[in-house]
Amino acid sequence: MKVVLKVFLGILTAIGGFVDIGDLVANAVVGARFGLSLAWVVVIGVVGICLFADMSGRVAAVTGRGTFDLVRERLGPRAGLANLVASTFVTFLTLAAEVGGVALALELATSVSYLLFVPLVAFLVWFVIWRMPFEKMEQAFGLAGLALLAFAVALWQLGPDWSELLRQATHPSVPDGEGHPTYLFYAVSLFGAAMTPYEVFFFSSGAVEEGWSRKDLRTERLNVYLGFPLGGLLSLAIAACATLVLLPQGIGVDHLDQVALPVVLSLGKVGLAFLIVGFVAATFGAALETALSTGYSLSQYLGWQWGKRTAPREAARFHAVVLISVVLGAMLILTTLDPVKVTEYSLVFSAVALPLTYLPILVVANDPDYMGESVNGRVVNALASVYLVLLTVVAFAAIPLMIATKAGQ
Amino acid sequence: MRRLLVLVLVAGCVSPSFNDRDYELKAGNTAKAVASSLSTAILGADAARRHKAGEPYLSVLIGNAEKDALAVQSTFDGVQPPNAAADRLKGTVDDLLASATTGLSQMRIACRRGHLDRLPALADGLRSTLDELRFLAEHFQ
Amino acid sequence: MTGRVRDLALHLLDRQVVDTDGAAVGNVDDVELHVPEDGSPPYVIALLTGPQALGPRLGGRLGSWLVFWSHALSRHSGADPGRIGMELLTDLGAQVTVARSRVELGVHENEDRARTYFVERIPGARDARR
Repeated sequence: MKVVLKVFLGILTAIGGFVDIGDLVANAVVGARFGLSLAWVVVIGVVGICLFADMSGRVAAVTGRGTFDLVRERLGPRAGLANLVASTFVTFLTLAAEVGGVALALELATSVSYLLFVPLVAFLVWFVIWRMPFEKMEQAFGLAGLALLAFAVALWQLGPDWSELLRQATHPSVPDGEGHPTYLFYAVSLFGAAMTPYEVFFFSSGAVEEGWSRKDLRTERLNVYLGFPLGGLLSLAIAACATLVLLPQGIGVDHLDQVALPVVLSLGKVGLAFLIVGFVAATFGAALETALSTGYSLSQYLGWQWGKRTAPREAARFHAVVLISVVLGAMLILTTLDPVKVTEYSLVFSAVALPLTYLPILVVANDPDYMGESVNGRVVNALASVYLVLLTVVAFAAIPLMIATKAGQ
Repeated sequence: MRRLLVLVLVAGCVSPSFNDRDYELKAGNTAKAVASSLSTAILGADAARRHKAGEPYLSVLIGNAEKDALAVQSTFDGVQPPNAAADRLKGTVDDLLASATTGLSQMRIACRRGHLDRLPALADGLRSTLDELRFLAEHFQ
Repeated sequence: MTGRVRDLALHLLDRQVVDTDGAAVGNVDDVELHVPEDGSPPYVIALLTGPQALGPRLGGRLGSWLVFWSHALSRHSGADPGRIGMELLTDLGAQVTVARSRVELGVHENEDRARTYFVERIPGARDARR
């Protein structure tokens, strides 16, 4: 049982990264438009995030240092600052969207306009960070987020032709009526969603919050290799449900309610109940993850005391930053900006910040001064180098693709 | 009857200029978007028929579908038809959009009043509109 | 620590400074060098921390803006950055450890201000939840 409770950092990190409000919708959009022909991107993304999250978690366990600490130290104050601005901007936009996302999920349950829930949700996000112990927080939201497995159950209930789904997934091609740039744009979005920088900020800082040390490296690996593939599995299940139910009807997905439709049709009210619990937990978890990440990265860049393991007064500037970003995020969403659109754009911008985040992790994970015998192995380094090239290509392609395709329209 | 009209109209459509083609594409995209909203609501009605969804969820689903359709309709209204042929196309599309948005708002009203049992009948009434919208969307891709 | 030769940029600059309680004090934003008159190599006599030290290293308009504002908002430290003498260093590893608490070091004005005027006024600020 103890082992089971220890994996929720990884699960919460992955749920916040793979199935937050933007990805819930993006996965369904992709399924309804491209079938499973983009499934390969999710697989590449899962392998990539496992690789780098494992490194960042290992560095955190061995040295007690969060990822942004390394970013500043290895890139220097100027490039570090550029990364800080870019990734904090993305993380903040995502935070705002998630606050709206929790409210949208509550709207599905009550049909009361989501805007009315926004202030309450923002307060609760802050309150959980202020009062709830870190471990309790990750266990509660990680566990409730597993309710999203309803998508996998629904997929099985829908009784698809598995061999056809597998064929689509293993023979990627651009469907008729869709252009190559649009296809690539969605590939970049999905890849960006899998590898958003706040996942490693949160995961590595969470490892420090939990006081992991060298002897927790097994727990760390278990978290990575259980959490992120689970996140990938959920996003594939969402896409597959949309492929089976929405694609044949020519439905273009714009809203969370449409994402739920396949589950409603196959599992009925019980399925919807699970789904709403899962939606709320996943978006709330992502809100916690992004709010904390904003505080973590800024504090680590500037060398402030950070974290939830001490009383808030001991990490005053950290808690001030978290509180202010939650309030600003709620205000942004109260302008009636569509939360789903906000994350779609923020994903693309996050793709731009990717290489600057992952390069320092790779460098430090290879430094025997820090890591002793826990430095990267050769296979990991070879794979990680390939990914850095890929991340750089994606970073340069992201914004031109967004402009060329009008964000995938 | 209207299907026939659409067919006749499509048969007479040869695009002589870029403007016409552009207008046809816009009409096609409009039809596609509204067909998507209609399909969403019809699937929702299907869930209601099989007692698989309750009032709060269906209100949100159908309400959003209606909102989207209305937004698409008002965008299309703002597009200037380049010539008489385009005027005819506009007339057909406008009729279809009107019947789609009216149907969707009827469904939304029934749903918010808790008359989920009326949704399937209302949805059935929209199927022909859906077929014609899909036909247009496919033709003017 | 005296007398050891290290690559300054790689082993000291931008590292986290922690105090005797393991709490974060700041980053090594810059260092103070002493250049002996006899021409022997210069050595570090103090670590500098805080925006007044970071600003000049960032350079450009942003750097001077940072220095200006932290100066304007600062009540007693004036234009000088927080300074930690090298004699206080006890360990130089992944983190730089110093033999004083944050309070004794007195380089913590902004944190104190955020605590006194903002965070401590919210109920529950004193409870650690583990």
